[in-house]
Amino acid sequence: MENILEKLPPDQIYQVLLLQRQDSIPSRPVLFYLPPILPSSYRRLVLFDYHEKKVLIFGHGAQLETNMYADWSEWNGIDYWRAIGEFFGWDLGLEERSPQVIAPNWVRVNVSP
Amino acid sequence: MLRMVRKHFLIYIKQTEVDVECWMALFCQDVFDNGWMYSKDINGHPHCPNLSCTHSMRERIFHTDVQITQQSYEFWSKSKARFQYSMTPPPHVVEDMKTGLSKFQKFRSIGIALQSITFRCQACRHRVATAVRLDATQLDVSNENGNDNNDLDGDIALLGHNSDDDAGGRSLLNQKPHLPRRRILPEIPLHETEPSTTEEGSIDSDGDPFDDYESALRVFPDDDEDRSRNMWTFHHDGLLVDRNWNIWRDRGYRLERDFYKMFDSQEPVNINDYLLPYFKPIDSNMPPSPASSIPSLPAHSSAPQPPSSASSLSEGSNLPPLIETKDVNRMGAREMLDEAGLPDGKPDSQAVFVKGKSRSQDFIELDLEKDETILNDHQVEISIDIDSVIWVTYKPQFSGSVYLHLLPLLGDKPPFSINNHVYINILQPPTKLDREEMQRSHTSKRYPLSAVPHTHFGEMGRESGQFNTYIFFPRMIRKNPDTGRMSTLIPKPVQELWFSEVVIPALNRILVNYPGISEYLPTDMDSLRRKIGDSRQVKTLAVTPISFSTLITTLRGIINDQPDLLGRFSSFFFVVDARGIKLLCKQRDRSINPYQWLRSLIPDISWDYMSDRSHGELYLDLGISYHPSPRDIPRDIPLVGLWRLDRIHDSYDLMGMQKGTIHHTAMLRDYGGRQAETKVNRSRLVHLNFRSSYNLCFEVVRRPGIGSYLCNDQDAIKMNDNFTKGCRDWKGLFASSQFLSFGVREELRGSGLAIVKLLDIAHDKVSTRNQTDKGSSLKSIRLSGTTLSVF
Repeated sequence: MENILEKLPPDQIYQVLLLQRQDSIPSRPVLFYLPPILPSSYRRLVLFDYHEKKVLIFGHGAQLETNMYADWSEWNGIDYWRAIGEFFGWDLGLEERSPQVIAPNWVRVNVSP
Repeated sequence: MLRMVRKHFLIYIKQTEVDVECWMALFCQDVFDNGWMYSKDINGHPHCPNLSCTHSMRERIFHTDVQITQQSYEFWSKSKARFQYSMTPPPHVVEDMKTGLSKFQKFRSIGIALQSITFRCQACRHRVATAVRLDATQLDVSNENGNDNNDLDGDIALLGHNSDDDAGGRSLLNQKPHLPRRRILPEIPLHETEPSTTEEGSIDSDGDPFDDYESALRVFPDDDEDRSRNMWTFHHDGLLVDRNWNIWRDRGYRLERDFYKMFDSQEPVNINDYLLPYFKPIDSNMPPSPASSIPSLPAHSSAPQPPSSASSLSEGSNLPPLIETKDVNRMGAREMLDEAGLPDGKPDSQAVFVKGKSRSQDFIELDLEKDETILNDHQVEISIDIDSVIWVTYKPQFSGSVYLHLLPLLGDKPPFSINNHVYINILQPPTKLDREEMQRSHTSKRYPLSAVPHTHFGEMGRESGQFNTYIFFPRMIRKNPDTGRMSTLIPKPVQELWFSEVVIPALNRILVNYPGISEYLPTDMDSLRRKIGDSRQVKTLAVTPISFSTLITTLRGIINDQPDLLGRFSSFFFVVDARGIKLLCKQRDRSINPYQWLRSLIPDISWDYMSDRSHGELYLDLGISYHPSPRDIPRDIPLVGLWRLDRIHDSYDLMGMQKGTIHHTAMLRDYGGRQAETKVNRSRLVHLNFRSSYNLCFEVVRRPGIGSYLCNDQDAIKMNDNFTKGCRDWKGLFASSQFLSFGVREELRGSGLAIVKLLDIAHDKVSTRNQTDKGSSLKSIRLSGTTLSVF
């Protein structure tokens, strides 16, 4: 897995995020943009909610059916979950059960994420 | 760089339906601002936030980008000396940034196009926050932070979203999913059906795709006029997209195939009877003349009047009728002058011309006809001409070269600022019912040309400017709510958009096929304007008739390709207009038909194409003037002709004219002129739409196209130098005219078909009438050395 967390030294990341290293950081949702893994795949917006143990994936293609539960293994989502959570020192919660991965199917005006 | 940015954004604009990035940006912002909620059911799925439309975000991104780019440049520009940056942007980029992005038409165009999407967006109008899930009914609403979204709602209100829709906060259950309404948003791009507008034939009456009727359904109605729909257009150094674009937008007006047809398609009915009718009703359908007891219609009424004493004479002529006849002293103009005596300015002359009383304290009733001079047939010359040509058409075509305008028309007034009595039928914007039923509007309304926004397009004819072509944009028809008048003068930015995004690209597209031309073509309007500088030079470019026809098709094609930006210009049509050509027309041998003469004089016009009513409606003005013949009247007896109003009214009544405007010459009650349109139903049958009768002595001070005479009202109220100068000028004009003769004139505007028919008979009919009325109508008056004649 390659991501920004590995490319930048941690100090710099803290600087970018305007955080102090010594702070203990309360659990917050993390929203990030996931570029297409393959040219044919979709652009996604991913939200990790460590507190609720939920993963929301938006822009998961035009899924008009009922499939609310999504597969995050195709982009190794669990690695992202781990990397981000460990960086901030949050409880990953993986020992109990895997996070619930949801691709909300909102048919909206003008947009079908 | 500019080109890249433009391409980037235009591609986005076309991808309205799949706009994931903007949706993501909207969603991120919403989450950052408001957090989100989970439903309380067992699944605990998240709620769909109530987001505004993606195009608003795109608009915001664009304007923020422009703003930040500009700010960054300014920072760089100020700090480069201090920081010694290792890299420098390419010089052309620096140059562009120095100019300022808002100065570039390209960027303005993007801003305008983005704003147009907002105006067209049905979802913004009936915005529904729909989170559709199969188990939507189980969805519970947790409103813990749901109402703390004032900031976003404020944004939405500014964006023009219906704040009522937002009143329920994030409550999803309170809002029914309006799926059917949403489906009207076209998945099939509607503008792709537009090219058919340029094709003819294969049309049935109801489903006639002559114009793009469906896009009219997506236009906001006028009641949203003043809502500011765009919060992103403010720029730190000015407005990138100014208020014009809210006003000058597609308002849903459309054209029907026969939009130009003011007359029924068959031949004009009994047209010969409508040439200066008099006497008795000539058609059983026509109303009897209320003054039919008057035995004859004088095309020539009498009333003389030296212009220099016009105002004073009128004082005595307009007495209220309550004066008893026995107290009245009936005088001619000559007698009044005698009564006043010399010199002027004495109490006696003031009593006569100011109080209107004779020396015996009786009121004076002016009877100009006491001084009339009777002329016989030989002493009256009749001249018949064509005064103006107006052609309303969808597809103009000429046989000579056309000089196209490349720069906006500047000025205080549009070319057709006054109603020229030519009307077109325009399909009204769809009503609420039409929108709901997704059907095109079926109500059409007559508009005078002077109510439709327009600008210049080209000039043609051997003498440049003789025939002008104007382009009309009916989609932008609008009444100014402040003044109550129709806004027809298109502001410069809108015209610039037209020329830079439509006309110049179209020219480049069609002329690029000819080698050796490209160097002479302007690439864009910014460069053209720089080249010309501040001079108000008129820039034109000559095109051949073939290129001209291609150009029209190309213009429509370019507009159809960019409906967001250029849709406002669609449905355009043309008016070709030549005014005041009577002098040309009069310089001919009397035996030649004026129409044939005009055809030979101006061969650059395709007269046959123009006369074909399937291409457009041609209007001609038939002018008939009566002049005192210089051969038979001694030169020292100038004669002035005046129409007798009562006879004029008879004739107008016979023709079934509307009341129109009555002009009293020098405020005289019984003499003057009249202008009136034909009543609509009759006009359709007889192909005549307007008639005007006036006295040619008006030519002494006449200034065509200029609104105010003498001076403007404010100057007159203040009685300042402008006013006194105006008075002096007029006095000089009158003084220099007192030894000249003036005739009277009649003008009749109608379809080309009708006027050409009338031309064949006009001279005979008019001459015959003179013989018939011999002695009864040709009169003149001699007054104070100046003989005012007339007819």
